Amino acid sequence: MVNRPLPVINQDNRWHWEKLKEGIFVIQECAGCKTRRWPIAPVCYHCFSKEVELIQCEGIGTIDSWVVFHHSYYPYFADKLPYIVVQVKLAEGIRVTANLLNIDPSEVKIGMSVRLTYQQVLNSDVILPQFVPY
Amino acid sequence: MNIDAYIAGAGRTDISRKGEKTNLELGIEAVKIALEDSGFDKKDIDGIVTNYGSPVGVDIDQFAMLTGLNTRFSTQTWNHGRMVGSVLSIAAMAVSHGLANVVACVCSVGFAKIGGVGGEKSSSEFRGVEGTHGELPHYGLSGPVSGAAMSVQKYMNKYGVNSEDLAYVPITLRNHARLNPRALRRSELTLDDYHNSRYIVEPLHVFDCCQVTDGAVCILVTNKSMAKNAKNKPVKIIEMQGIRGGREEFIFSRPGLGAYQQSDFDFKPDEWDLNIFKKSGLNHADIDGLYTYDAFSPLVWYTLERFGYCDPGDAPEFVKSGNISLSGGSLPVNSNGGLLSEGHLSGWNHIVEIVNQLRGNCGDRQIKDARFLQWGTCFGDSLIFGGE
Repeated sequence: MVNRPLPVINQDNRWHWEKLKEGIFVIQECAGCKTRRWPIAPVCYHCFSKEVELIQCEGIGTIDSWVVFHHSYYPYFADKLPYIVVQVKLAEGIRVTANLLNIDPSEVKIGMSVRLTYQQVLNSDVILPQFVPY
Repeated sequence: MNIDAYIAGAGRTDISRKGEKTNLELGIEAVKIALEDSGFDKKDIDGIVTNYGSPVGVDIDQFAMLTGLNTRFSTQTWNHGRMVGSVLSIAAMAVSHGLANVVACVCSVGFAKIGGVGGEKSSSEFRGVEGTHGELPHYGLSGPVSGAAMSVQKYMNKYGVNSEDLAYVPITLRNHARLNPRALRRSELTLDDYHNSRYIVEPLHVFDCCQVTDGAVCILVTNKSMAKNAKNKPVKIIEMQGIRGGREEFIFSRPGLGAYQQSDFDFKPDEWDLNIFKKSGLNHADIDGLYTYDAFSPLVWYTLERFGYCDPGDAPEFVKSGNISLSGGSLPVNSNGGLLSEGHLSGWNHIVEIVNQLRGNCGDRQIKDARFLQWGTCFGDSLIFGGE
């Protein structure tokens, strides 16, 4: 069996992936100017402050854009075609990317409501945030 | 800045899908052709700028050593189509300021050899948490095609257009390639062919994506006093501006579309986008042809809007009504057939085409009385070239 490609977990983002194991999606908010940021970064892109407060997302959002893969680029996904990748604007104001599960590609639309779910990656201790229709 | 820079020689190998030659062999072949074209001697080359990286090209140390070059100005960039303008600008600055007399810009690509771009075949996937194209392999989000697919989905939604409209980009460029004996894709492409074709990453069809190819280009950039000695007519680099960076930029989008971390807003070209016109004293009507990085069809729409050739949302109609066509269009785009149909040498093949057009050497696809040609990408970088 081919394993799923794993995310790059490094010193900057490890805490986020640890929180996901508890089923919590946490993002950074600048303690100074209150700008919420994504992707994870060691500094606020707006005011350059390093001070952060962590915000727990409720996980509700709307689809900003979506694509459907009909061509296999990774062995793991070869028997999963067609699969959907979405960009979702969370209610907390950031835009994140993940798969959209439990829906036929023909039913996907920009503006559709979705919610976060958490998916265990086989043969690893990684929990992936994913979206499902809401 | 006073630019004193000319293209005195342009060499390109054949474009192949067979992967027979190494990137070094191809790069060397391109240099030889460019030297022949310029009439310069190898010893005249005292600067080198290469594209290196994914998919592995040629790097300066290895290349200069193995070819016996002796350079006093040597640097390299990542091997991406978006670096074409940057490399030419670096070379132009070097010769303008006396850091070198003749800079060889060398790009050698081996996409076919590695079997494709994207997925596990492409090292750029793993450059960081998100790759240079926004790749996320754990979601099966492979670059680079998905970036263009994601941004054009937004575009289509925002402006009420669809694949029917997009089809006119690859069809127009295919018609250009049909006039180019050195292009790879030369068979007729009809609307039916397009609509009956498979999706790669929906909403992009297979004909919205360029082929992966092998080949190399060498462009010799020099100053005016040296250019006078060139065997063939030199091409002047009239103006240039760099590639944009920041949160509002995404490699396969234009600002305002809300792809990846971009904001979603009503885009208008800004002062930096249009600076090339202001600095050169030329306006849109002066430009006889536009050359752009067209690895995917939507990038042509984005480029037309980024440089103000049409209003945001109007590019589909602009293309559909024939404006970018060699047959009667007001602004022929990628007269060689583009990456979409001539082949993918990262856009360097377009620079060779610009040189040939300004020399009047393009036969059936010659842009009549071409005087000023623009290189410009949806990432905001641009150069304007003129015949002397």
